[in-house]
Amino acid sequence: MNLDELIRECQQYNAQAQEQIYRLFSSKLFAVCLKYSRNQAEAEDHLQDGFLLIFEKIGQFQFNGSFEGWMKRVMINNILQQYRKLTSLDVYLQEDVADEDLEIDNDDIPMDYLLKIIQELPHRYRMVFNLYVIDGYSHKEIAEMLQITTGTSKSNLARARILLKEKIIAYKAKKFPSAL
Amino acid sequence: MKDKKHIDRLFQEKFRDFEMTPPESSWRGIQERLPKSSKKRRPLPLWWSLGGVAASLLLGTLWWKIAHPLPTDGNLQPNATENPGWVQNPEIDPQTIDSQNSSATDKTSITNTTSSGNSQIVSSETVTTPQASVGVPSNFKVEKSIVSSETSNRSLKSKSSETIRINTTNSQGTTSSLFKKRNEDWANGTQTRTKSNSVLNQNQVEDPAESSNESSAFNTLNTLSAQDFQALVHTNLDRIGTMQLPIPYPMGEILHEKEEPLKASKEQKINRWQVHSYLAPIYLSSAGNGSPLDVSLAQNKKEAVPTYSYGVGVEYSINNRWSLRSGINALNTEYRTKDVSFSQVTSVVGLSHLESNSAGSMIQIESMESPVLMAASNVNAMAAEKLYGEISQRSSFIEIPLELSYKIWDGRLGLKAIGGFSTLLLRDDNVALISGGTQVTIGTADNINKTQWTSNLGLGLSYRLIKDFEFKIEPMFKYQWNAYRNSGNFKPYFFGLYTGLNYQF
Repeated sequence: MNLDELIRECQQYNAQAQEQIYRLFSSKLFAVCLKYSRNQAEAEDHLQDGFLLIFEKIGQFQFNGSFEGWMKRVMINNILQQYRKLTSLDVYLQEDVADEDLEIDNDDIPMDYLLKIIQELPHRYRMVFNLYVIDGYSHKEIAEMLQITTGTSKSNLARARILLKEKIIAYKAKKFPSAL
Repeated sequence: MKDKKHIDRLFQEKFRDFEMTPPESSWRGIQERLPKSSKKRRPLPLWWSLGGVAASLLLGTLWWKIAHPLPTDGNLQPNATENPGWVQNPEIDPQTIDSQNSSATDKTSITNTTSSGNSQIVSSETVTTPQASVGVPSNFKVEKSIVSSETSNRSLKSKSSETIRINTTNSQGTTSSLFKKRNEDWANGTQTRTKSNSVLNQNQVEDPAESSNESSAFNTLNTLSAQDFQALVHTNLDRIGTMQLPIPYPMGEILHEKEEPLKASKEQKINRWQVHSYLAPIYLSSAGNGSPLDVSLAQNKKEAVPTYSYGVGVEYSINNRWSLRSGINALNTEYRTKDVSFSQVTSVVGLSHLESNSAGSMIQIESMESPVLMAASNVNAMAAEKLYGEISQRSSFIEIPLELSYKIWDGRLGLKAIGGFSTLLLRDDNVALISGGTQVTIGTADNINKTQWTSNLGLGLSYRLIKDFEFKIEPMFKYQWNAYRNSGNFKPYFFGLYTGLNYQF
């Protein structure tokens, strides 16, 4: 069955088709969840909730555009919704950071570590960083999605970058002390 | 000096193809929570769908009217609700929701209502009016929460009884609430977002008809369109007699508009019906060499004249692969029996199955193939002048096919296998003599069955032109079972190339 047919079957609540769709896309969507969540356990929860939403809303998919993109949006949307209530607990600074400061040595840093430090970011920074840097949303879009101003989005992004860079530098200092 | 890279690029490159397989328990968790579609979705006939939509619109309008009387003294009036999707959970006491704080920041509250035992608020958020919006007091609070009335260990959003509650509190601290339960309209296969809503008195218990409905579409907050949400809030505010509050909620919109425009209400369209019109050249032939007119003509060469059939048809999709089709066509057949001679005589021994008209009754027909003349030939006939020509037997029918088709390949170019049968109803027939360019009708055949059957088998090739239109070519073979009574060995069949346009809806 091709993808369109699978989707149609899912629209008819066909259990086998639903499982097929899960098998096809769960790895990519789990990766999305991992980036946006704080740890693996939360990511698994978000994956489940996200897929349940996807299967509920699949009737709204109109076959115009990428299905994977649509699913990803549903997944991200759901995660943002979950974390919205928590973001007000964090304190966010507003400052600008020059671009040159954000360059780092081109060493090979393990993916696990990069994922870990993203997950460790405060919620809003993590959201903004993922949305802007990895998923390509604009500050305007992020501002509307998170109900903040574009200025806040930009400064959150800057702050996220600083935090990440600091952690990477600290990591390299531990790993390659001779290089410094 | 190592080359440097911007931190963004570092992450982009690393995460570009990032994938990770989730544990199998994740799928099991999803499977358990998926609504069991134990009742098979049977496709409903079109008139049910239309009727369902009309009834829902009517009910929605009626209810909207009833649910919106003018605000009186701020009391919450119990309203009869005809929309079973709205349900009140009497166990939730709004006072337990922490909504009295009038600061303008978002707030979280996840509270358990111990008095009710098994109800929990899963998530809630409070939004106050942005200062920047329309001259509205800034300490309006609209609280949206997702309430689940069942709990499970793993997650609070487990069963089908989730409710969205919207509390609106004005500066005097008066709160009004709206509740909404999951609601999906099964009858017409759409996920309805009911814009209509009602306000229920706190003490009134509604027993929705659909509370035992299987879990289905859930209008989560972030997918309420801006208008829906505003409508809900407006209603709430009407209840407490205050000004309207525009609160934009475009998160869902932005995410949708990243690639495609947001549509306010999406209907699930299942194109079950198709109509088509077609025109087909028909090539007739016969298995066997007999003659339906007379046994003496059995040896004669028979030729079928290509004719046309045209008509309209309708097709109903039972599921993705199988469809049932029917229609109505006009079909004409013409067979010619060649190499006959004829002469005008006074006393004619006619062809066995020819019912002559006045002209025909004076014409003696003989086969040139058959060496033996008909029995009791007339001596006079031998003396009369003989002419040569052919007999044409024409029949016209109304054909009503009933066929099943199986989609072998579905795509822009489609292929299906078609089989079934048709009923042919004879409209008229005539037999004529053709000779030297002139034609004389000599009568009708008396052995054509008025109702005939054919077995049909064929293939359908289709090409999707634009959205709901297809161009089709369907070669079909149709074998006529009982065209004639006593036709000797003449077993006609025909082959048609049905071409036409198809429209789905």
